[in-house]
Amino acid sequence: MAAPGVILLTVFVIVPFIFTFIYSFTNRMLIENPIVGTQFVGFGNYKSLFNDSAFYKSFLNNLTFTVFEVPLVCTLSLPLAILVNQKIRGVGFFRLVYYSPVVIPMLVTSVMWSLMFIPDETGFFNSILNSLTNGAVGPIRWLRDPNTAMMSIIIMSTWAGVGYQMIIYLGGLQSIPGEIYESARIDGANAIKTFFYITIPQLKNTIIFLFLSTTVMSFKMFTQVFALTGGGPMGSTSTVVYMIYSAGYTDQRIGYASSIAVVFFVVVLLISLVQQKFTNMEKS
Amino acid sequence: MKRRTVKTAALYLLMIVIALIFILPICILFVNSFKLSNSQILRDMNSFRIFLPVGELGLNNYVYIFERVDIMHYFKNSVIIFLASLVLGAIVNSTLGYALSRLEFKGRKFIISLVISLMIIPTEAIMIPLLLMCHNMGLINTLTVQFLPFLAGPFAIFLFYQGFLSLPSAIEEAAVIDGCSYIRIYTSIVVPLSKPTFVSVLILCSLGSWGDVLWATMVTRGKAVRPISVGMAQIFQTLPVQWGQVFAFAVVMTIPILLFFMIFQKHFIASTIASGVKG
Repeated sequence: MAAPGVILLTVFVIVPFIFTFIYSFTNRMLIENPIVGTQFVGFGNYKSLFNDSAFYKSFLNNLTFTVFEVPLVCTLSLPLAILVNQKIRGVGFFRLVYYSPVVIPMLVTSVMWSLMFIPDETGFFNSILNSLTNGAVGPIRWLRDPNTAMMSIIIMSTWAGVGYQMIIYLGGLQSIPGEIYESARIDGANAIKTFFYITIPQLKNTIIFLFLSTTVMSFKMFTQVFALTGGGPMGSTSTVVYMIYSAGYTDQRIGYASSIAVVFFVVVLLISLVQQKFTNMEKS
Repeated sequence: MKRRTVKTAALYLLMIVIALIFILPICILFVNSFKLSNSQILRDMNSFRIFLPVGELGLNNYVYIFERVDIMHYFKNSVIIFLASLVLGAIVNSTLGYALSRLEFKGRKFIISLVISLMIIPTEAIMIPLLLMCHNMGLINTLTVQFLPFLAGPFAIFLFYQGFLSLPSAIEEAAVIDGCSYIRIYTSIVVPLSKPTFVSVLILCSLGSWGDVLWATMVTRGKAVRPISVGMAQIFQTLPVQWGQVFAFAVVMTIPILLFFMIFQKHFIASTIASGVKG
């Protein structure tokens, strides 16, 4: 009964996983050179990788994305969760609306936002900036400017993702016993005190969990880059996963792409282990 | 009394303003898919007219994508992949989850720990050898390759495992004594009792296929088995961008998911929370 699952897991997860490591030590291409075949190159791929400025740039871009998007998404979603946790009429409607961008495929979201990000004065965001600041802030080139491209993607991804964390916070908020709030109210605590001394400590586990799991998720970012910038301009939006795609699929360099994948896996593993440590600490 | 009313009104106002931030970009998609003039769309970008159905409106964009771009073909491909992931994924993952939770067999503990450790591996890390493997298996450019490698999901298996563990086993034990085979117990007793688990887990697992553009791009060539996500990327990357048509395409790609979401909202929320507490 367990057979189909185990077979599929082995063939399509375990075996490729092992091969990622194996290939990373070779110069394998998608179509093997019929004369020379594939050779073992030891740490050659890794040496090239760590000398490749494009790789460092991609890694840095990933860090930039994570450092901004994760806190944004994990903090903005909490007030949203509090708002939709109220017992007022129509709150279900608001919950749906705030969550809906999560449901929309990221590809479609990218298409929507690319229109708003049009770089000259006719673009939507630029028009708004223009009227709000009376022309003081010039047209921003958003996705076409190496300095603002990643930030544009961050803004868009925050919009698209925040509903997800909101729902998880909502679950957490609803499991806080009402009596705690009652006794706080009796003791005369105001809304702000309640928030900082009760709500946040009660949500501590949820907050830590969200920060860590959102970090892991953010590291895998690909679709936005694929759809909007192709890694540019000037490599300012290239990410590690995009490099894996570009090396392995576009350039067909299986060996090199595998070495990037190994580094990627190690980073994700480290973050996941930190997450496990925290969860276990909380349990004990 | 008056103070409370003002407070409530202010609250609603705040929530509506926030709602607008989320709805308006989505409006852009729907509204502009009906606008016929590309240059008008670009001009409308300058103002709030981008949110309003003004100017020449009509269904031409939709006609174009249905007749010239063959969107229904891509749609059909995506639906097949989605259904295959859903049904086959349900069978594969739940049977393994059940076996791990109830049946005693050698290596059971080992497989449970294996499944838990496999959850950490991101698909992106194993994609490349997977691509090579599918290439060598001759699976490239088929519908199968777009769902088969992802049927067995460690996370889904684990959620099923946990879900089944929490089912009281009394009924199943009685059935075993009566001589029922495990498969019959599974289909007649366990599955009907765990409907919520099934729905939540399956939503989590099968939705990924609809919007996935990374794997689909890597394993499909040409139009035959192309899913709607790749079609979307294609029309979007064909310059010069014809926004009306692109948006019409996006609407057709989004509506099924949006509908699915509205019908199964409770389960979406439940599966989000389930993925949240997995730690």
